[in-house]
Amino acid sequence: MEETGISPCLSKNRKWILERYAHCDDILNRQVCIGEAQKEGILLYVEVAVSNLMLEEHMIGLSDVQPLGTYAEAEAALLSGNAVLFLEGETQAYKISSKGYPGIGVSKAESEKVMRGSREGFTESEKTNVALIRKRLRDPRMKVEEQEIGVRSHTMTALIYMEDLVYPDLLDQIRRRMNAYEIDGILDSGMMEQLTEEYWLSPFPQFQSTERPDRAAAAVLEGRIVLVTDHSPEVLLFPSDYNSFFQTSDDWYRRFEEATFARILRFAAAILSMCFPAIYVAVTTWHTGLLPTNLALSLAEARRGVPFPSAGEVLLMEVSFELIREAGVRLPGAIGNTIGIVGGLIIGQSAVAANLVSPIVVIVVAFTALCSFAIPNEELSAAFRLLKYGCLFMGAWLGMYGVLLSCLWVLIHLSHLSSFGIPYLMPYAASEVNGYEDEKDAIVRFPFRMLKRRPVFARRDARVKLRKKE
Amino acid sequence: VFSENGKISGRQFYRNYAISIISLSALIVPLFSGQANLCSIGTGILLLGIYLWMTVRIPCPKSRMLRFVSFSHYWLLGTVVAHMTGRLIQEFLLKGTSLALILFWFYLICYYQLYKGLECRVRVGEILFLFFVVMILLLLGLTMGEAQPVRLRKLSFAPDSNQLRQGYELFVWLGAVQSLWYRKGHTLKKEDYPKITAIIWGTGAAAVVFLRLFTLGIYGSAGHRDLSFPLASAMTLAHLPGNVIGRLDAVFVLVWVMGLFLLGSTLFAPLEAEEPDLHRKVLLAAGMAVSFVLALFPQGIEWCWKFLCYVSMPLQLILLLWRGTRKKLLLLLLPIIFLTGCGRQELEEQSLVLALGVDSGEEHSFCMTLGFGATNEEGQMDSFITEGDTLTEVTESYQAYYGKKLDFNHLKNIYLSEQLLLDDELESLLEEFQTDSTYSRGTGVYAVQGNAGEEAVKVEQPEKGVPLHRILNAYYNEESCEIPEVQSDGMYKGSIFWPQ
Repeated sequence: MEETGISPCLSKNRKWILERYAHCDDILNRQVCIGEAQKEGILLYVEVAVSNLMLEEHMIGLSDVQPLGTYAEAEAALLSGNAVLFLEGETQAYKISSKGYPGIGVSKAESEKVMRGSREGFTESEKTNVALIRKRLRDPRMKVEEQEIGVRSHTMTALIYMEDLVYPDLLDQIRRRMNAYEIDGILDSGMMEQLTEEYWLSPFPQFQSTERPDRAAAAVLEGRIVLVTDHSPEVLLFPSDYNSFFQTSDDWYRRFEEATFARILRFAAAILSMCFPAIYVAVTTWHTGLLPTNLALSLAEARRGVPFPSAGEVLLMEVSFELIREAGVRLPGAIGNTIGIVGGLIIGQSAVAANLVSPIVVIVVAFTALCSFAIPNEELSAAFRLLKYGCLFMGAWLGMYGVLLSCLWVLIHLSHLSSFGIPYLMPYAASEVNGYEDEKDAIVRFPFRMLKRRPVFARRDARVKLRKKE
Repeated sequence: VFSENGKISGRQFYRNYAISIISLSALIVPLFSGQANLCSIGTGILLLGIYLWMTVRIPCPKSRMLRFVSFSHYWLLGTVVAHMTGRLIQEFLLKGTSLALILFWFYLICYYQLYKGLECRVRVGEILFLFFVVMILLLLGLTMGEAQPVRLRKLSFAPDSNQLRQGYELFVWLGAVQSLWYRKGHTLKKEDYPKITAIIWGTGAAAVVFLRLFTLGIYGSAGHRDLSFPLASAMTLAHLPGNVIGRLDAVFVLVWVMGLFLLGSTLFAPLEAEEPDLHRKVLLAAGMAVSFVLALFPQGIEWCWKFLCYVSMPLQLILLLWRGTRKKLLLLLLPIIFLTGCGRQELEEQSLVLALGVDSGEEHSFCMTLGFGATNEEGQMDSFITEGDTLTEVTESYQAYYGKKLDFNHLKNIYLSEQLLLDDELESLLEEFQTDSTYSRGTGVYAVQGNAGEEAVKVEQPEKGVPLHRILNAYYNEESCEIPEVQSDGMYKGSIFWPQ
């Protein structure tokens, strides 16, 4: 930070501004002429945090100003959401107070709720979303690159990153991919995602989407890039590995024991949401030996009179569950809730009472659904939900061998995937790339004081994020 | 930018090696038993050590000839491994499914993995490593109870030509593990070579010796006769306390298959470093198709094995030694080389058999009483009584009569009448128990003074019988065992020694 006093020469100040806030497209400077003497000045402010209307009002009287002696002070004032005015011939800059960053009134995060932590969610405006991240990271090194995409829609997108943490190659790569296509219009970040993905045939997402500004800010601190698209409350984080889809932002806010336990649950849930129905079918039709004797006897009793084979039974229930889910998503809130009751009561109980399915299958399907909802990222859980059917088919055909084969297939596919050059299964494979540091924030979240290094996304020479003060 | 290493690190190499050696040697080491003799095992390990040491000295074969020889060697070995995996699955997981179907999927997934390039193969190996090792340890822990260290006293170390031949064959198997060593590059420093090799060899040797001693402790010197995969059969002994899972062997075989899959797929393309180009992919597919056909026929496998032992391995050794100018070693090794002479069913369509009573029959050898778990209206267990010479015959007649399959997975107790225990005909029954993995070796056995069939249909079944395993051991190893007895008044009291 520059402790030097502010220069009276305006051109020198302008040079300082342009250098320090290069590529910060959210920090604006405006030429002004003040007073009868038409004194030249530069007004520096963070977009959105300082509204244009306020500037017009305050500029007239320059009431409520506070003199700032050094560049450091000026920067602190600027980044906390005020406008700063440099004047020709003055050795002081002036802080013009503003309401500051958008705060209360910004919508709540709908899909990523947390136990602890900020309730703020991204809005539909790109400018506000950038300001929400800038609010959390008041550092001139956080760069914002804006770019218009879409020949007809002219949608504004912004790449946000920490200049000294991000790999330059990564930036080149995303710029190249964003400019590789000419498109009519981009209406949501989802379209952006599909356009820039490398393995676009894979069911697994390679971008992490989030609604939470604190999650996005954390990603920027990890050396990742955030891609904000106008009109979309979901921003994209990349590079992403398998692990990052299982992290929620309150993992770092809560105690490590709790967070670790939750992570283990989520990982197990992910695997089960894919293969639990398949395991059920495989065990009951091929490997009855695996069941405890009493359970085997009662299962056989329950299945007596059911017209379908086990696989058909499970498939029937799974499909009706998907129907309930799909119907529930589309319906407005109040009716949507009743769908759950209708589904639970009618499909569940009545089907059992009518001897269409055995009760255990209802349990299996419900458990699988629970598992798939425990995955924090909706796209990842959708991938597993789809793969479940393939797994079910193989389980019915070749028993546990089939389940194993389909799991291996998925595993091989995952290990082949990469997101911007980062292996998808990063901490579990090839973790020596980052000196085994990433394993500390994978299935087990180590105590906070031990998380001293950034994950693999950050530049190799800037991995330290925590150290004890001398 | 991030993962510029298409190379293999010491840790990765070690993990791959561990998976290979544990999965493979657990299957084959008990077969190289040589009647309570450690000589074959020792020879195999020694040769492996020398071989590893040699490949350290000559890390990367540049000559096309050597590459071709080693490639075809691994390809054949892969075929044999695939065949074994298929049979393991067929015998323990999917009874009645055709080998062709099982192998087809095996090869398909293998190809998918190779098609995606070796890098991901290494990663998959890394991920599965921990899981695999933990499962194997658990498995050994669970079967430990039946291993009797007393049997190890009979061990000796007596070299003869047969032992040495077996040792050499074991070495050909274990030699598979160094396939990755030939990779185009690894991240090891030159001074780390000897250390890593020593660790690898040490682990392998320890695993092989341990598995040998362990199976000897379980089966005695002859108890694994007629078994195709002794250690897999021993898995049926494993029980979790609390009866959470019925029979564990399916789980273990599954984990095993995973290990063998990794080994098999590394064997099919040992020299590939990155994702193959289209030409190589086609070549790979063709090679695997041929291997698939070869693996389907037992004669093909036999031919493969002969070729491996007597042609390609010696050839490889000679080429290696020639290149490495270790001609003295070659002379040392030569004599050793030339010593060698060399059906799916829905749950309700199965009847779970809980108890089996065997008496002497009138028309046939045995009169079998099968007790099923469910009770009928009179509060008695459902049962089925018939006469037959073998269990298979009884199973077939039941199936013909009721149209349902018999499921012996949950067999808790076997009751043998005392009279039968004195009979010679019992042997044929014991042999059936031995060779068919349908029957868990952990099933409890009782001797009955009166009619064994009456015990089998009782609703309450005791859980303190002697494991079937010990009876089989006693029979094959000519030892003696103690069988708890059911008195003529129905009391579970006392025991008899068998054979008397």
